[in-house]
Amino acid sequence: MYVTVDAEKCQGHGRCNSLCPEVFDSDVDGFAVVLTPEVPAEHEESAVRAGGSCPEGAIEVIE
Amino acid sequence: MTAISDDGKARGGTSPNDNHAKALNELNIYDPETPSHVHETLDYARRHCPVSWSEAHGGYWVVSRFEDVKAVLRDDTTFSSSKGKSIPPRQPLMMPPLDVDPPEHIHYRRMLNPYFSRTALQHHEETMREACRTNIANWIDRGRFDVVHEFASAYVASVVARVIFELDDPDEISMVQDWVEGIHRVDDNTEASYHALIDYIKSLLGSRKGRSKSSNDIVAAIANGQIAGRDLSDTEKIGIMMLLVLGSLDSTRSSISDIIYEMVCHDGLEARVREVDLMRGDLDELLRFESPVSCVARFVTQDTLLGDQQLRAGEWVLVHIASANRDPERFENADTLDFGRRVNQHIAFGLGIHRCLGSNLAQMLIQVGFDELLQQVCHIRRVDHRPLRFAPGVVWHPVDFVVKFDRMA
Repeated sequence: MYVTVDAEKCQGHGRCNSLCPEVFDSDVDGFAVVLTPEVPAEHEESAVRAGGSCPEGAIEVIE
Repeated sequence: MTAISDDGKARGGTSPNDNHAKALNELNIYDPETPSHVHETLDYARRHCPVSWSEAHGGYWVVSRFEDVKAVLRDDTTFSSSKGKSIPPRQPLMMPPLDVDPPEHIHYRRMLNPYFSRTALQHHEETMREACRTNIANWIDRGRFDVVHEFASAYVASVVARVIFELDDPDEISMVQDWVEGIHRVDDNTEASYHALIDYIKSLLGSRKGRSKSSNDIVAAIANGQIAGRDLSDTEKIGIMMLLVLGSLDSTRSSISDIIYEMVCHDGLEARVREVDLMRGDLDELLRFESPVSCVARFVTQDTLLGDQQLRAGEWVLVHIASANRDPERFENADTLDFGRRVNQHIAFGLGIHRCLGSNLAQMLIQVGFDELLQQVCHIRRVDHRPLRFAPGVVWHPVDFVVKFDRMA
């Protein structure tokens, strides 16, 4: 599983970072940063949750 | 426990559709009766007329469905924020960046965002805990507290004084806390509190002028702030400061109070909040279910279609975030508090360029507040069983909501 963040769409809600901090971080301005584009198997469930919960639809999860 | 049915709400009974249509056609969010029927009225709106006209305040469009609310908040060209955020316009002061459209908007956000990122706010966690413990100590020996005023409002106002104003003198904190709370109590002293706080902000901005930027000093950042290569005007500085104060308190105290309300309505919720990491999903569901900022206004700049309605330039729209967050087209069992949702795309903090600047601060306040509260008290319950009233407006909160509790062993 891979994840990407569309920086044009991200508004810095930080929800991905809350729901799946192992895969998503926030930069100093609060915008999303992907820590591990290839999602470790044990974090796939929370990565999917984070991706689907982004209010801006900025996260793509490729399974 | 993953699903809790919404069995506790005393927000009106069943009515024929014509009553709902009438309520929708007269929807006035400041009417004291509105909180008792607003969920039902907007449910009717979503099903029958998702973009509908209310005659209140000279007329405006009521937007109730998730997709339409999202469309408005995304299109900041057609739907402007520059005339304020309430219908009718009622604020005496413009508050950037909330009342500013692109292209200027981004400059204010770039200046402010770093101070409200999770990383920056983590430095304040111990300050927040101390503020909360000080607050709890004021009433814990009495065995009961007024949720809105004695806990939520006092705690959040104290954190505003300590974190946003960066004060550490207890007397000064207490003074600012009184003014901030005073503005939100809406009584004979509201105006005096408002002017006292503005005067204080002016002197604080003056005293922090020239102070070098530190990663924590928000006031200094604003006092010395520049956007797009020019200094901020004094009016802009005061407007930004007031936005930070007003935006923090109203919404967060409402959210904390609503969560306690849900706790007293739903067996098992107190234990759940005590045990889980709220930030990993549960808080999102609580915010979806009871969205503290229930609606936000936009001004239509050009003729446009929204849903099946033709909107004209010069009209107002009020997008109902609380309604969007209960739209069954988007959320299965939308009227049920369900912590088992796999994904939760709620928009309690808005979306698009005006996404709540303080969303991380609010979430930390809630998390720290319940962490501290539930370490000291348990079995929170109402002192009587009278139906609870909710104050009307953009941000609802329970009125005269007093609870009793047991001490944790």
